Amino acid sequence: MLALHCQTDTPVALDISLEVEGLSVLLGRSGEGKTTFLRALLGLLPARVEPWGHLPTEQRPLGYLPQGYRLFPHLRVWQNIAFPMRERDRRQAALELLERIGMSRFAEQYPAALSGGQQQRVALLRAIARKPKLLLLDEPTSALDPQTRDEIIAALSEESAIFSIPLLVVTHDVSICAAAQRMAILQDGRIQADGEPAEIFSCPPNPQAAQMLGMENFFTGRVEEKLSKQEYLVRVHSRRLRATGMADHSPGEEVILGIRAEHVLLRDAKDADAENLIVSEVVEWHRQPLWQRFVTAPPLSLRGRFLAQDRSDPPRTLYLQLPAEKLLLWKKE
Amino acid sequence: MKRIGSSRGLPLEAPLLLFSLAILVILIAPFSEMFFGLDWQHLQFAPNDLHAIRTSLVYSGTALLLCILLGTPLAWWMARRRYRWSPIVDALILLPLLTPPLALGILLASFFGPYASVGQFLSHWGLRLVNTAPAFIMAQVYAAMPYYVLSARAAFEGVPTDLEEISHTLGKSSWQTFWLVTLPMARNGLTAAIALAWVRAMGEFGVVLIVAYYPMGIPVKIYQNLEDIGLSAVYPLLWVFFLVAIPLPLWIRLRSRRQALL
Repeated sequence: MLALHCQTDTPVALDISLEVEGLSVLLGRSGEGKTTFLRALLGLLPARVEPWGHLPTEQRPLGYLPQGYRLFPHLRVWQNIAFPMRERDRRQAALELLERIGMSRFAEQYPAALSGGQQQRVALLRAIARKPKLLLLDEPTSALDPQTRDEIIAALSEESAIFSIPLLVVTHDVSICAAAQRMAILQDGRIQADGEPAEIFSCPPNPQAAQMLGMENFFTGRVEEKLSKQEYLVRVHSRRLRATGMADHSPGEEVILGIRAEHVLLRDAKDADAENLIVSEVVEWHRQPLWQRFVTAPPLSLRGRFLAQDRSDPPRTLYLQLPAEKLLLWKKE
Repeated sequence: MKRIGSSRGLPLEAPLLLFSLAILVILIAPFSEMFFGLDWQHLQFAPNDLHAIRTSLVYSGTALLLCILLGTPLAWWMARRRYRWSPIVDALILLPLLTPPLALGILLASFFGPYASVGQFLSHWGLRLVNTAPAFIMAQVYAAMPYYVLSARAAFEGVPTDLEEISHTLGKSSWQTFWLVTLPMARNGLTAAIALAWVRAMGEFGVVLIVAYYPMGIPVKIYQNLEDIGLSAVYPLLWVFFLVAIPLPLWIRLRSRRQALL
């Protein structure tokens, strides 16, 4: 595992400590300083960086795949890959790398003749040809359709393993996290959470991070009682809901509750006595090929979705259960 | 005829074509005199015309080399380093362009001439900068270098800085990046700058007239032929002037265009 530390003042103030292993993802919204962080690690910005902070850019053992791939347009594909090489027969070495990912037939082409996905793979090979100790990727899935995105993520993961180089991906695309060994959330210039993706998805550190991870339902409440170490009884409007909190909360404290749309369970009238059950009118209903999505009426406006197996008309009244272990709460800032 | 590039979707294509051709005809119309105003049967060179041709070729080549060697770092610096006082540098480089050539010649003669302190200092070291080969070359450099620097700067500005950064991240030093990325990517603009500097140096008359009447190059010799012999002695030398001056920029342009199309 590789530990990275980075402090910058401009253009975005950052103070980041991060551990990288295999395919790691740094998740953050646009403008949070993800690219600044990578540029600082590379020595392209003034920053206090560990390790390699004392070296000029060209001596840092880092590979970099920027947004837009930035292949050299005046060089052929093999020349792009051979660019950082010091071997005697650079052409042969570049061709061997291309062979390994099944792209040797493109060796003599110029980058402009390649598709976006092919350009990305060539740019990745070029970065790998440097034989770096860490590969940095800036938003590798931006501007890709979902299918290509999934292929790229799989290819990245595979190539990281083939070449035994750890990858650090900075992105706002949550879907990459599914393939990652580690992930971290960048917010307000700091790492808000760092660990295994499953762990962070189940316990986001705050509502903003939860929203970044795809949580859609948030509402406020007041703690009535602490039931156990992580279990709380919370009053939300006129209802009392059981919820899970990671931090310590006192009775009377105002909190924010959140639940992912897919965790809102659809029940029926016979479950009326179930825990955390909410009966609500539907105000919006969207039928999509895979999912049916709904939004319920205020005051507790909930967004939910379920697999679109049932083609019948949607009911006007829904019985919704919010499982206590999935209904998370955070202190209201 | 095979067209290079595509003009599909260009509005008003036919009128634009006619307009462009008309402008070109107007521009080159005076040159028809070189065909129709010339007594082809009695075509002959004036004395020392060949010497003037050699002088122009050799010294303009040297001046061009100096423009490239001295102007390229300056152009790169102007393109890449931005200071608060950069606009002043931009204005300073325009000064020799703005100055009428005759006036620039007078300024050079006053500064580097035998009665000026700089001129005396240089003479002391054996470098006389009036009516000598170095003076001829200096006059051409002063005339051509601002054009070269401005064009080369635009060429360097056209190279995305992020590609240079990528080169650094791939282990290349600033010097290697300049040779491997910046220079090849600025190639088209730089070749245009070289072509411009060449025709400017070859065709320079005003500055050279004052600073280096001798050794006589083609422009001054044309002037002398007109004064001493008449129009009949102008056109043959002008023909040769075009024949020796045009191939270099033409070759450079064709070469860079062919490479751009690859």
